[in-house]
Amino acid sequence: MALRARSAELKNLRQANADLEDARRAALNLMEDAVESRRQVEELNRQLRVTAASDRFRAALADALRSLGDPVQIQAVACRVLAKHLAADRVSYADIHADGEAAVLPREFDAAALMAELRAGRTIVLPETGSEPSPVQQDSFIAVPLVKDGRLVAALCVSHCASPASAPQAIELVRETAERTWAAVERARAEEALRQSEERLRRLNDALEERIRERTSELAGANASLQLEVRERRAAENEIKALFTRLVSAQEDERRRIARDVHDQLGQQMTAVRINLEELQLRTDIDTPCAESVERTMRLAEELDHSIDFLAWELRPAALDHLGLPAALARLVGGWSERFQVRADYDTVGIDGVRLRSDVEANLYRLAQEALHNVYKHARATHVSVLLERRDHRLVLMVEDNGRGFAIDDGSPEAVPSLGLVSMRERAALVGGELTIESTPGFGTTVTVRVPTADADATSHGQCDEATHPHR
Amino acid sequence: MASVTKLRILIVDDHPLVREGLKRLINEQPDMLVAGEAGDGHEALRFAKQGMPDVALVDIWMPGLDGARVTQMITDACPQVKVIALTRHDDGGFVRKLLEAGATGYVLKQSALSELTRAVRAVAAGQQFVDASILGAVTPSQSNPAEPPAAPEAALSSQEQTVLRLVAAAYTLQEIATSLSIDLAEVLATRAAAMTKAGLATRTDVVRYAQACGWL
Repeated sequence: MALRARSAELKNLRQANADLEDARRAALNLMEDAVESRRQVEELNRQLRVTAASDRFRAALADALRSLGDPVQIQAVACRVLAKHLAADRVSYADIHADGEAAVLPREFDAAALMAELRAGRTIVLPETGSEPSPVQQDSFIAVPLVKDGRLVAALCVSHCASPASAPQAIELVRETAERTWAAVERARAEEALRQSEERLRRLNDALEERIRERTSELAGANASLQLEVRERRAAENEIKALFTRLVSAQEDERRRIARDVHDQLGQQMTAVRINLEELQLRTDIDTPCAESVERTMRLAEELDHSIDFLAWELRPAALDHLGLPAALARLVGGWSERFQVRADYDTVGIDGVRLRSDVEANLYRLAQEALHNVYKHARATHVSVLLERRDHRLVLMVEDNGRGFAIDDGSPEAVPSLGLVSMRERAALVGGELTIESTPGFGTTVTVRVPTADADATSHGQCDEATHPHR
Repeated sequence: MASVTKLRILIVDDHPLVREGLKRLINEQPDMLVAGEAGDGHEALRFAKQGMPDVALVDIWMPGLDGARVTQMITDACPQVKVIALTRHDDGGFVRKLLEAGATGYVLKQSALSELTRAVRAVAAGQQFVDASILGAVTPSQSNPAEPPAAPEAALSSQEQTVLRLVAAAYTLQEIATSLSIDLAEVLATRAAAMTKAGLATRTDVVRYAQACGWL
């Protein structure tokens, strides 16, 4: 019984011992958990600190680079900020040029091997001397390659002494810095390029504006000289017109003077001769040879008298000065019709009681004379109408025939002689008038001269003096 | 046989040769006497007032006062003096001008003396006398008056009428074509048709026709 009791007791003891052992193990586990948790917290705290430091670094780097525009300065500042953050001895940013072979490296590395690694895009991490043998390397070293479009463009190298260089955060930070520096440099270069192209553009623009100014000034000069030329030409034309006007007016004056001399002197002397002949006839016995002779002489004198009249009229019809254009035209048309045996009618409308300028009258008279002459020479007409109408603010002279006509501007020698037409146009223009010619083969020809009444009507007594006081 | 009272003649001419010739010829006439001569208008007026001539022969183209003015002054101052314009100008316009100025006779120097003596006797008898050779020239416009159209406008289409109006108003064919918006050939055809219908041959005929129709 005692044995059974002991064995029961022993069993209890063993049980108790086992429980204790479990408890101890549980306690140990708890301790381990606590230690682990504490370690985790510390690690988290450390990571937080690192992250915070990294954030501060990023902010500092961004601040430092923001205002910079010079690639070399960007690289130097980025290196300084990174060196401070990592407490590194030396940080170098090396541009690798396209030709690639001459990479500038901060210290005396096994350059070829290093370049090969970098070209392959691999980050180079060398731990501190001591943990691993190295022929040259003294400190820890990180080199981060920057590969863009498959090409190594730069490397950021950090020689380190303080914190463990191989820490992934540090490597990441170096890589990030390299990227940012590169981006900042690229931006700066792009801005520089932009600035330069803008500068070029500005210079180009300036040059262009300068050329435009020069050209504008040249043009202004040319324009001014052209205008001067135009003015001179206009002045010359006006002078020619004035000369022509004076010439025509002098010609008319001269004709008037000669006509008057012929009519007055020669005519009066002729009258005297004829009176004497009449006297002689009265004193001569009829039916004698002498009487016949006197008779013949009287007929000759009469013919001579008519010739004198005709000559004077041809030179300048006295009617033009004393009676005006309508009367002179009536006489002209009548005389022409009689002389060339072609029916010619003359009529006026709206002209009664209107005084016309004497130069307008003279020129229209000469134009009618010329037009009738052309009808006689070229038209083979059987009817001619001469019309002088004043209506609708214009004075119109028309000479219209029913002759064979001609094709205007056909250039044929059969056409109305152009020279005559040119001088007729000029004559019309002298008094502000316009001459038009209409002709159709088989339908006759119409010569029309139109003068604005403003130019044609006599406005002051001065213009009529010549007509009313021919002898002055 | 009582001596007839001779007509007293004043000769006004600036040409002495003409005056002398005329004087001799006139004095040959049994019923005429040259009572005075004058070389210009003022002399003529003076003599007309003092010499009491019956007839003054006045050259219409003289220096200073011209014949028309002299004629007017003489007839104003001495209405009983008859003035005959004696001139070389055979233009109807001059004839009208001188007759308006008061002359009752108009004789050309180119005519025979008999024309002058007939004129002197005619005006002295109170008649008007115009040289026979210019009678036709005085009234040429009246000799061919526009005959009033028998049935004005009736036969003409409105386009023909319009074309004739514009022809009469001295518009050129081109102007007519432009204003009616038709071509030149149509203007020619329309004008020809209208003139044929109205019996007109020339533009002056058209003008007279238009005047008779009251278009102008």
